Amino acid sequence: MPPETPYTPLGRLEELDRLDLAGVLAYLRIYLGNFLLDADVAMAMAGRLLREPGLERQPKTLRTLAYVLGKAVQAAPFDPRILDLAARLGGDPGLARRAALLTALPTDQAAWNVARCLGKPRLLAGRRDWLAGELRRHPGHAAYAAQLLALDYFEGAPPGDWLSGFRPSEELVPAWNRLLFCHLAETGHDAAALELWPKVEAAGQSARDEAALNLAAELFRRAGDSRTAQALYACSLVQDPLQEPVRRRLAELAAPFAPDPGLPGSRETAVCLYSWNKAELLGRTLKTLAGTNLGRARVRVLVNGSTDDSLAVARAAAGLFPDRDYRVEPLPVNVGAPAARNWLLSLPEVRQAEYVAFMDDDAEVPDHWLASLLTALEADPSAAVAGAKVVSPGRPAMLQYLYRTLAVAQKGLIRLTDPTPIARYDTGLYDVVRPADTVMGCCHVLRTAHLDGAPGFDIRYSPSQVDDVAHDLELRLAGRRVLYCGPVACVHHQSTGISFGVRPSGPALGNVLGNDLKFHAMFEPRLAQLQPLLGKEA
Amino acid sequence: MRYDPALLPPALARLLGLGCTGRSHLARLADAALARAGTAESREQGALLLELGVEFLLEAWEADPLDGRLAAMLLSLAGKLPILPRPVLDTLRAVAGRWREPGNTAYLDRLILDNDPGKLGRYLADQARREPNNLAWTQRLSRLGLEAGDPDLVRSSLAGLTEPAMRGAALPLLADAALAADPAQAVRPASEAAAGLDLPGALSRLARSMLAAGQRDQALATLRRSLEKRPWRSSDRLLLNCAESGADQAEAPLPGRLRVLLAGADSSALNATLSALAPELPDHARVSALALGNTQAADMLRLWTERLAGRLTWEELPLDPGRPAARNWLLAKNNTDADWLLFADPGAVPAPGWAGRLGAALAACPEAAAAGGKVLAAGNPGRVLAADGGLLFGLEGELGEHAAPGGGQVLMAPADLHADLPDLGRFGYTRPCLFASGAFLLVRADALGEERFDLRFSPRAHDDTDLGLRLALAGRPTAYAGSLAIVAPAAEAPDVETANLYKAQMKLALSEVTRLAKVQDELFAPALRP
Repeated sequence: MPPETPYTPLGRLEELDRLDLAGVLAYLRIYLGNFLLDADVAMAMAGRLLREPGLERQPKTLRTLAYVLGKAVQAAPFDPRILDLAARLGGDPGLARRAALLTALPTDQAAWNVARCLGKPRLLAGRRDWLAGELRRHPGHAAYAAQLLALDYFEGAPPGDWLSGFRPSEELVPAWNRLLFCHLAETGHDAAALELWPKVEAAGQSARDEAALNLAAELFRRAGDSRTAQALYACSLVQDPLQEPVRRRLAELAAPFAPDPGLPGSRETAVCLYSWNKAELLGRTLKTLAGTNLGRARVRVLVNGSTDDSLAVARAAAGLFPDRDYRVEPLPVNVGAPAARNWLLSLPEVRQAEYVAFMDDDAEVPDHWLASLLTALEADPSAAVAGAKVVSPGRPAMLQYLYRTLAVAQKGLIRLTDPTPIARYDTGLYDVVRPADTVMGCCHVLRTAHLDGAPGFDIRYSPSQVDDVAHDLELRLAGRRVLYCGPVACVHHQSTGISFGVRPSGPALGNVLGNDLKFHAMFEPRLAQLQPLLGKEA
Repeated sequence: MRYDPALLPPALARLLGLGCTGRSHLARLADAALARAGTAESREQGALLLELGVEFLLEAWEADPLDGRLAAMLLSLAGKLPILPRPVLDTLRAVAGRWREPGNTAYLDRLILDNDPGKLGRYLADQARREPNNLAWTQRLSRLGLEAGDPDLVRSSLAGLTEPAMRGAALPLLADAALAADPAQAVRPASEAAAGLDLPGALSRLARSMLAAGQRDQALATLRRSLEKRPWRSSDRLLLNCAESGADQAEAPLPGRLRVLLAGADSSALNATLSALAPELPDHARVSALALGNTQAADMLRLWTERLAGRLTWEELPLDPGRPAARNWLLAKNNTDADWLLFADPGAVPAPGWAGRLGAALAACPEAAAAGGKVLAAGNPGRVLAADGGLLFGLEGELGEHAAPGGGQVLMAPADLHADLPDLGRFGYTRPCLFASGAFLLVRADALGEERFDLRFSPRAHDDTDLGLRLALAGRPTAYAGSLAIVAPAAEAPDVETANLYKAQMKLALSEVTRLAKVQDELFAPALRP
């Protein structure tokens, strides 16, 4: 018999369309509790609100619409379509003027397809050449220049040679300088960004918006000027008090998180890794792990039936851990991630430890990672899990996975928030310790006392994905807390699931959606218990 | 009307190759025939498709003859096509006239989801008493009795249907109920049903009742009569071919060395399977087992090590990693000395003669890479969990009813001929197919080669489908032995089944699905040949 409300697969637009207005506003509130709003989410939200019947008679909804459009304008200040919409709804003459200027420039539709090229290097190069050619023909075309800057952004690069040929009209210069500043500050080109900042400040309120202020705050923090950073964040909060991440970051800067380096030496901890056919990455992971403050933690490496050199690499790594209880658990076959975790948890010496840390075989962690995660857990006895901030390799590092909270829990639709703002670099904004509903399983520490009676990692999600999310959610339902520890940056070399820019297809997509379907079926019978969690940690 | 398989449109021929039984499948056959009748390439083909369409729809109704909606649909068709005989029309009118969709079914739906047949039966009986003029309740109650193998419940639910027209609807149900519950006593009610209305499945039912009662010669003659009258009845042809050649009774030794691979956490389930296997294990056979995170399971395997005098080796894992991983584990450690690997689920209990039946199926299909049997649900052996594995294809969007969770077109889905009716002897034939149930599956070691069970189908659903399809794509079918019944615990919860099916569907590229369609067409072609 079909369920009353059918399961809705992944996809933000489908999700939002399934929610009533109160649900949409709650969804936005929860999102804002987690992350700053980016252009994609803001526009999805705006699109949903615009479809709301009788919108013109609902002042509160109109204010929300203006808010999300304002965020979209900040994120995409040279997109005439967004500007025009925001200007018409908000009646802002400045925006209307900018929209008019941009609309007057003939823009080929192809210019807006940059995001579709991500993950496809040849297509990306072709689009870049085409945009650069168009800009040479039209040196004042700000929309083309903004798109070229977006391409540079995705590469984490400073503006390319095309910049020297760009001649924005006088009226657009302040907005352009602001965009350039944001680009440089977020991609970590600090010297150039600091040089440009006075021009942005001089342009006044329109350029010195909260998005620019937030980036400037981290820019000054990185330069060692925490006082200015806090002042800029405070200013940003005045402009937009709904920025919960800014509020948390400001508090963190005022009273920085201080890991206790002695904890790994004074607590019984087992550090567990499992690996399947990634010998080289495993070797690198073990090497960096060995260089971190492990105190007296024992280390267990489960080699999951690998056919490459993983077993030899894991055994040879014993030399990296002298005087430490280090052991390799070889299995004849790959049993999948959830079973591997359960296997490690079943080892008597792991079960007896106070804390169990799980680390992926392709992750790199800083020296203080264990001390930090243990410090976070020790500060909150109700917390069962603490997880790291996960970033992609490279400089600047793109945020890969931070934390998630429950976003929607209704019949046919159980959703967690995005694990990270979409395609944003790690500026330091999310270097806070905060509660969440789930953290990434790539580097997390579990308090073993809280695992008694809780279900293990669920093998229905084999070979991987979702098992860590489901496990955290089970702990939340059991009344435990889950902590995100942003000061620990874990570099994750590979990613699973649906990643930004590279959408899986065929078997991989089948696995993702199949597991999503299982997750939904697993938790839907417990909607009544899930609903109180909504918005609690966001 | 002349029946020539060459006149069948390919999509219909493909469906018919799977068989012509099961309510949903018959409705699907009817759709496929009627949808093409209007655009037939010749008058001859058009006439054949119309007649087949009505036949299939009528048999779908015959499988559930108190279904007023289907009766009304047939009456509407009959208004345009004067094909149906008058007594059939009278019964259809009587059923359609007394059937109404119950207004609020929320409580009924909840009872169905609760899966408590006793409670459901009491509710339905109560409703049938309250609304004696609405057949919808009697229909559900009689189906419940049929599916539960409870002929008394079927009889009592139909007791009130005494008028001649309604009797025509009741007789097939009574005959099916008898066949499901007590085959030795089923010939008489099947004869009565066959003597009643001229319905498409009547002779087939009678023949299957005779086969079950051991009246072999009469059964063969009846199957031949059924096929003379309705030569397109592929399911009857499969039974007849098999019975005529003696394949349904054949036994042959298993060729080569055998290793049984078994993993489980439940000691009594492990014991049940080993008890069923042991008496027929060839001398050369070895058993490898895993006790999965349960000390009682380990104790049971220790006991069986003694009973099997050292032919069983086992180890204990601290947990259950899921069926695919456990089987891969056993393969990794025990795949060097056997020609054949027999994978058995804990609790899977094959009928006596299992080794000979599988041996005979392999002898009849020497190119097969695997062999399996008909799997019946433990606790309700009338319910078929799996038979000869075949696929429905959606290459032209025919599988619209199978919604993909991620949207998009579903290219294939496992055939479901067994799903909505009890066994009733419908799958007692032997033939090569695409896959068989992994509950009790014999696989040729050299054909398996480096192939392994795919973890994405954990804990255990469709890992067997996936393996069979990979072997079929490599040119190696699976031999299905319908003469071998295996009673096994039901598979996973429906949501895991659905999710894993989607994973299986997404794993195949369009080119592979197209190839599988061709492979299946060739394997199942004999079912269509007169």
